[in-house]
Amino acid sequence: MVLQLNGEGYAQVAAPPPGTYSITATYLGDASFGASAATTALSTGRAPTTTVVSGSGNPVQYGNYEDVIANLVTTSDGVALTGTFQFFQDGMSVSTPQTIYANEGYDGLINGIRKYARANGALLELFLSIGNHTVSAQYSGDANYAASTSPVATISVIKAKAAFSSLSASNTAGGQVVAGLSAIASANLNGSNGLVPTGNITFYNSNVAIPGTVTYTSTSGYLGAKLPIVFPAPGTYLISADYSGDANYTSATYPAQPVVVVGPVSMTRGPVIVIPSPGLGGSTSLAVIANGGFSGTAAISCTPDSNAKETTCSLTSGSFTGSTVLVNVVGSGSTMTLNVTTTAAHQARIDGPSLGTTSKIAFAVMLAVFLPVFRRRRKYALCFLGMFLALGLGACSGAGGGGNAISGSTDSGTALAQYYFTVTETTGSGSSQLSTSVQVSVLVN
Amino acid sequence: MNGGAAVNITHGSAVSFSINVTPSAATGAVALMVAPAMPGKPGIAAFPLTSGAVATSTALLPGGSYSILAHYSGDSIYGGSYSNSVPVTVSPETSTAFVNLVTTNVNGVPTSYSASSATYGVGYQFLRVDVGDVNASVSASTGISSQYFSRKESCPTGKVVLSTRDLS
Repeated sequence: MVLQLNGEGYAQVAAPPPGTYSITATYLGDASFGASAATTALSTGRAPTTTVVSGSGNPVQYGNYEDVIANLVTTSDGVALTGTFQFFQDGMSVSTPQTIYANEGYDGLINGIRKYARANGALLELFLSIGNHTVSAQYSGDANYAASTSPVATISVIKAKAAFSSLSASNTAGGQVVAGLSAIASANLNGSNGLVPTGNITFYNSNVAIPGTVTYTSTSGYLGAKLPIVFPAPGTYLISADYSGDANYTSATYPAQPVVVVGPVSMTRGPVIVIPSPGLGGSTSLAVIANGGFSGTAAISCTPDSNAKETTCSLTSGSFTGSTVLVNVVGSGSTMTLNVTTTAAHQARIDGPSLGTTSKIAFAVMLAVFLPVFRRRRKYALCFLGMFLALGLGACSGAGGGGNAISGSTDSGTALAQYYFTVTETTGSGSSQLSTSVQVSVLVN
Repeated sequence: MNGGAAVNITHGSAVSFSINVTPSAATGAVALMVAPAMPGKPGIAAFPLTSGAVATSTALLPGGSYSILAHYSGDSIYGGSYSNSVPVTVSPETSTAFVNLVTTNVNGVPTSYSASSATYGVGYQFLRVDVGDVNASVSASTGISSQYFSRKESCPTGKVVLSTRDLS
């Protein structure tokens, strides 16, 4: 290195980095001064450093990553530090040396405080056993700064909080849960980055433990549990689950959640049946669908609305028509037709008087009393005939009636209104018999 | 100077001379200059006239072979004039070089001019090379002591080669 004297007989340059040196300066001379040389030995020590470690959170949950921070401070006015931090857990090195993630050189006086060169290192450490653990860090040092090792810090590791990630019920194929058919209640419990949780998971139906054997699977950090279950009838059930906890995990609960259970068969009605006027009929389609893989026979029947006077209904499936039909339901099911008939207003019919019980008794008594008399007194017979006709006709229209209307009155037939006809499907028998119904709207205009 | 004959001296040695301005009523100062005089060219040294004359000595003649002359710049009555020139040869004197580790506090104020060790980051450290006369010395507290320290016009000039051998 060549230096130019500055006119005052000297030159200067930054000292070499910390180390031990032999320095020789050779003056080349000028017109007034002869050449000369000098040698000196010098040593510059690296700036001392102090490192302290701490955990970003304490205590730490089992199997969770914890950010362990190394704070390095100096009393140096020098440049920013370089180098690495090696972290230790329980005296054993963890991972590879970590480069400094934040550093600053001397930053002058800020609010009266000298901002010396400083640096930070960090490492996400995993703690895999319950209890107290020690952590420490060692700064490597660099050309200007000396190495340093922190004192140990204690990290307390506690049980990890177990948490359910899912709870569900489905049929064995993963689809809808069908009443009376085997289903599976499933739950997944998240673990940490440590061992997969062990322990027991209990399933509940409306807070009552569901009996049976739970099967477990351990997959990449979570515990899976499955339990076969049969829901007896369609409806909405509330299922929940409890985890017992183990040496590394706390217990956990999955709150109740609804499970909708459908019947083996569902019916989907077609459009509203619109009948333009009483006396006419109408129909609509009706899809019968197998739920959750059900396969079997369903009895389908229809019932008129109780308010729908003088109406009938029937079902047509293929070539068969009747108020009840048997349908083989499998896969996507089948389609049938609901037929409805109505009655227009009409004249009441005149049939022979249909004598009521009282009239019949009265008539028999009269015959028994007056028949012997008729044989002796013809004039009484004619009188009796007149009374008979009056009594018989009166009985037909009176309290003892039961016969048809008298010629000249009108039956209004099916009234104009909206009615709801009921279609019911039934599967199984005995204690396993299940029925569901749908109502079909029938509008008589 | 030397009766007008050539002068041979070693740099830093004093040489006697006399300068007379006529008429002797001339006032002001005269300067020794390297010949030929050039406008704006600085002189070697200036001396006040007493009754139009100066008789003294100087050790400030720079090294080399050249001629010097005296220049009177005039006053309010008399105009300026140049003297005869005298050849001189000034040989280099012996120099002394120093190289030291200088340390400072955080404000840059030197704490030692001749440290042998330091800690990085505690103030500033730099290498300083001083060149002085044969009798020069360096004090840890005050730095170099040399007869030229306060006479910049005669300070050593030129270059220094610095070589560092790492013994770490």
